[in-house]
Amino acid sequence: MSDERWMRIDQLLQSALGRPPHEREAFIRDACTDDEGVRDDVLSLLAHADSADRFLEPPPAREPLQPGARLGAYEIRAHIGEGGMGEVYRAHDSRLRRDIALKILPPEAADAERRHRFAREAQTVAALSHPGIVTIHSVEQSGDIHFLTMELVDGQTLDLLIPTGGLPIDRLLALAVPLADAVGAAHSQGIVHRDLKPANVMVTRDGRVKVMDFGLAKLSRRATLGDVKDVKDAEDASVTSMSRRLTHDGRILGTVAYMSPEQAEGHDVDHRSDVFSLGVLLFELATGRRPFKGESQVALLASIVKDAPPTVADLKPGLPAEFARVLRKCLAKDPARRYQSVLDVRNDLEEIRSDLESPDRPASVQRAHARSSSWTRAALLSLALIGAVGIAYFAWPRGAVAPPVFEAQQLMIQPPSGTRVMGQDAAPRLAISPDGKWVAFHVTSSSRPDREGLYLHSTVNGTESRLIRPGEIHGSPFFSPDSRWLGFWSNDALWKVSVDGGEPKPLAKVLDQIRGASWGDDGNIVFASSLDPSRSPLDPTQRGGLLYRVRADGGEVTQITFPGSGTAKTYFPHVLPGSRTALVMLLPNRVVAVVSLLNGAVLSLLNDAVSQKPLRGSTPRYVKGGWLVFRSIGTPDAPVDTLVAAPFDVERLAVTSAARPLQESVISNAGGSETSAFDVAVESGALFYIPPRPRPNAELVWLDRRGQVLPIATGRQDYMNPALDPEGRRVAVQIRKGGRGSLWVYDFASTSWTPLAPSLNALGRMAWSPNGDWIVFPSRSPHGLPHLYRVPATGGAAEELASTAEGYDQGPSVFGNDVLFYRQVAGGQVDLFKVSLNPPGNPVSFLSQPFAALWNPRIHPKGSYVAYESNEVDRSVFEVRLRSYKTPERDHLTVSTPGSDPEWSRDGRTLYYRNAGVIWNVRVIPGSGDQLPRLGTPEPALDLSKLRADPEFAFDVAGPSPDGQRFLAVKRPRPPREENLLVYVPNWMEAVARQMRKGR
Amino acid sequence: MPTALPDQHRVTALLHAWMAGQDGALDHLMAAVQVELRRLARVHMRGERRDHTLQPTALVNEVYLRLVDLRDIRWQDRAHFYNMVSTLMRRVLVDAARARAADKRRQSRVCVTFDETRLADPKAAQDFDMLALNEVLTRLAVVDERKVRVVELRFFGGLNVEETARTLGVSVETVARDWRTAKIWLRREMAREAVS
Repeated sequence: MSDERWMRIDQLLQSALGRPPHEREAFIRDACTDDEGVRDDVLSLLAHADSADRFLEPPPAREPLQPGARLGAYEIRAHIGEGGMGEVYRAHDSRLRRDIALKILPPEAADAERRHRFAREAQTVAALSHPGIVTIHSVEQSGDIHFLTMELVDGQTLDLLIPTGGLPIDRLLALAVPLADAVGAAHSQGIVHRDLKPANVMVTRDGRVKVMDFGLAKLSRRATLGDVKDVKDAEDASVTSMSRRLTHDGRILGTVAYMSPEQAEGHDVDHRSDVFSLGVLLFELATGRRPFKGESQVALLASIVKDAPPTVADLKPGLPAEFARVLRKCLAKDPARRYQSVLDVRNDLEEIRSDLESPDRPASVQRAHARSSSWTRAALLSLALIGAVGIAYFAWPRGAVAPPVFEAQQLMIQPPSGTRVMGQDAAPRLAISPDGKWVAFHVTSSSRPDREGLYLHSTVNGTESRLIRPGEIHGSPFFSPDSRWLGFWSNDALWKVSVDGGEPKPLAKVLDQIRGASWGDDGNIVFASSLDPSRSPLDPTQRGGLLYRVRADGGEVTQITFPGSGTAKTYFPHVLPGSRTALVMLLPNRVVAVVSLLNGAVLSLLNDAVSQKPLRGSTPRYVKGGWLVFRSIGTPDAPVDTLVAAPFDVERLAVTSAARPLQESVISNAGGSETSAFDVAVESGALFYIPPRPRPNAELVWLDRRGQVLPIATGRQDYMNPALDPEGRRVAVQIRKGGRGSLWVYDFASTSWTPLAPSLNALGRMAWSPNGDWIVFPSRSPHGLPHLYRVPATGGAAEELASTAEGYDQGPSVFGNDVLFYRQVAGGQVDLFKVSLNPPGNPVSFLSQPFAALWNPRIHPKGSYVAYESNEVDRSVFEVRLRSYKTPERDHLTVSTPGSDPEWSRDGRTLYYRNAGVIWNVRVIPGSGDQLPRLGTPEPALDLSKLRADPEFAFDVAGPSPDGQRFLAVKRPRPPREENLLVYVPNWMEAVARQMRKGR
Repeated sequence: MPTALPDQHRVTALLHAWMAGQDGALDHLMAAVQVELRRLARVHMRGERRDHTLQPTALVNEVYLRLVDLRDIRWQDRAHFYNMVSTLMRRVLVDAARARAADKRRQSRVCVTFDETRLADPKAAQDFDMLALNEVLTRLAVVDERKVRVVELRFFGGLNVEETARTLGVSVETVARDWRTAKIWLRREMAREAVS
């Protein structure tokens, strides 16, 4: 099949799929009168369109029930969330004429005996009718679906209410006391919860606590490892069930995190297991963090069993000492050493509460509490019932994840569970209506394709969350000037949909992706797209960057700008008042400009009013009150993107005062890893954005042989590849910023920094000359391949080592005037090369083994040997090997299999290397004459496994200090787990204006 | 307690080394990933009932979790890793399917033909022949390499549309379309194969 033919088929198929099913065949017959072969091919593909829908997709956990579906006497009204065990719906009980919550039980519930046991327990729970326990009405079955019905609670689960820094103590106790009360009431009836966690605790609108899912954990075979019969297979089994659940329920780690040690080990549990889980829950409520962490389920379980929990006071100073004691007692590993009754926990908490409320408390503490609890109240006030897709909506704690610069209230919107919000890529993916009352955003998901798509959400009542045409990718959402319509591009067309509901209506066929659209006050929609892509399918330069116009009620598309009239491409149009002009971003220089919508002419390139430099950035907006807001593009010296505001005269089309970067933390492309996005409500001035993930700023530290961290006060930077000088007095290190590495030398004694070779992008492992005078480092040459350079350690010009442009030159090691390094010579073959600096020469082969990779050579300080890493013996294993430096071909010695990262001690009597997560040191006893040395017994120098288990920090360990007692390392905070949410700031523009006036 | 976690740090370091241009790292990295994939594939197959299909998504999530701390890796570098894992995953699953097929022949069972009722049944639509999929994918690669990459990354690599787009350096729209077209084409070709 030819490429053209296949592309035509592909295109026709896509166009047909964009139409209602009954029109597809006719469309294809119409479109392919010229080629019956293509026609039949497309028709036969269309016949498989439906069956292909779920093909290759992960099986859905269970098809969600649709509103109107019936289960026995119950009619499903709405999906209200996902409990730990399964989907929860609001349903109407037609017999008792009331609304109830209906929870679908896991398939394991089909096991008659289990279910029977559970039903018996549920009856006991139902009999409790405690105000702090969600009442279970019944356990039923309809077809093969088992479900239970329970009291409908108007509120939110506790897991969504825990702020990053934890709750203030007064608020915490107000929840904890009734919570312990409720659990105690169940215990007194012999019922153990077994799965106590924030997601199983509801907080009602008026702040009352209700615990749910008592005893339900018993139904879930997978909740503990106790059922695994074959001990040998225990890990495998847990891995299997875990990964299966991971794909369906990303919160599995959340469930495991609250298990007691006896549960983690699969032993029988009693009510004291709940005491432990309650302790974990209280710990998290107080600090916003869980006491036990692990990178996988297995590691987390191990941590629960053996690790002492951190001290709460370290995480959150100012907590009452008595509260810390309660937590310690709840979290004892041995059940016999815990509180023997939850009611004792309750009483102790109650006592702390009355102590705090007594009038002799220091006034400052009380004030702090009053302030910090104000947002909590706001949280509970604005707390809305979960919408149809389970979107939670609550106040953002001030100073929590991204410290806001402005004194503006922030509200947080969470995407539906199992999905994440899309940041901006080529096209914008979120929008806010001019009046700020509606927001639209796009989510993707690997586990819940049924939840993917564009969502429309009301910021006013927070209950409306509508998925517009699930499963499709929609680009460039935008609102009408009256905030009543949402427009977007999807599937070859531009669409609009009323915010009040109804089906989307197509406005115009637009084949190529739209990169920004804007609805003007004259009733026209202006968008950036390209010609019919099929006309020039293979030439991407012909695509994108042209402006078009279409009436907001549909009709012909007219072109505003044309290709060839200059090289500039136009993106992200934003129609200005009057609809005669629009703000845009012009490529290739990414400058913010104003174009005429009458003839497409560029009317003005915007400059900063003070510096007169062009404003570079994307997605410009003009906000009421005379503000230009856009996202600036980072520069080499300030690589982080920021949001920029400037006063803008819409008549003169000019910026009238200095442009100011705002709130660096709002918008960022930190490390190029996450692209955040924003939109501003042009009338109300509300900001809607995806906060960026924090930049991981690392520290240089020493690690002693026990793995204790000894700080070095060098400040926080994105450090890479540190290398100690031979004396151990200075460290050469690369600091990464905006994708570039700059080389610096830090002097421990004078605590001063010296920049080296500022024009070069340093990356990769470096080496000092043995006399400490200069440094060899790899840097990308203009051709993009890393070459080796050398630079004096005190500063000065860097010089490229004699090199050819054919290979990657990396991993230098220096002896005298020689530099040893490795270079890829073919496919998997990497050879060691040597180059002389004095007299300068070309690199010559030092050691080559057919089909093997040799790397990280380290020359002995006296030039006797070279240690290196290689797979020359067995291609699948890398070993540390040793050869004579003078006659490398002659003899060799294996130091460690497997092994890596050889380093010599300064005196050359000790060799360090890594194997199985441990840095070892071994004595090197010189042989006579040319003989290779003998090796002593390896001893562990530093156990890396403990460092690796640290959930907060990752350590890149470099070389040992000259005395061998410490190792230099980069301590890098691990960014928090993929957290992704949206923030809405109602009065943002006002706060910006205030701040800008103040700053002037 | 089971504690023998694979050497996550080492794999991450290898990945960094590879990305820094230390090409010798690639072989070692691939070996480590493949060992883990094989192990997990074996475990999953033992746990699954006979009629269940191996879910690459479940497998691969576990691989990401156990092998590499992706949080420490920049996106550009992750893309390379995803590319590699998805390709390896395809290879491992096809090898496993071949082994199973050979096993069946050895036990001189009646060769099971592709049952047409399975096509009609939406539940069984998920259950398919890995070897057949591999073959039609190879055929698709002749005319449209990118669509095959999309299928590898999404199906074998467990990536969502956005991640796939970043990995391939194309727009999410392109990925969404490619995915849709590819699924339909593959579905048809597999059905044809089954009939013939």
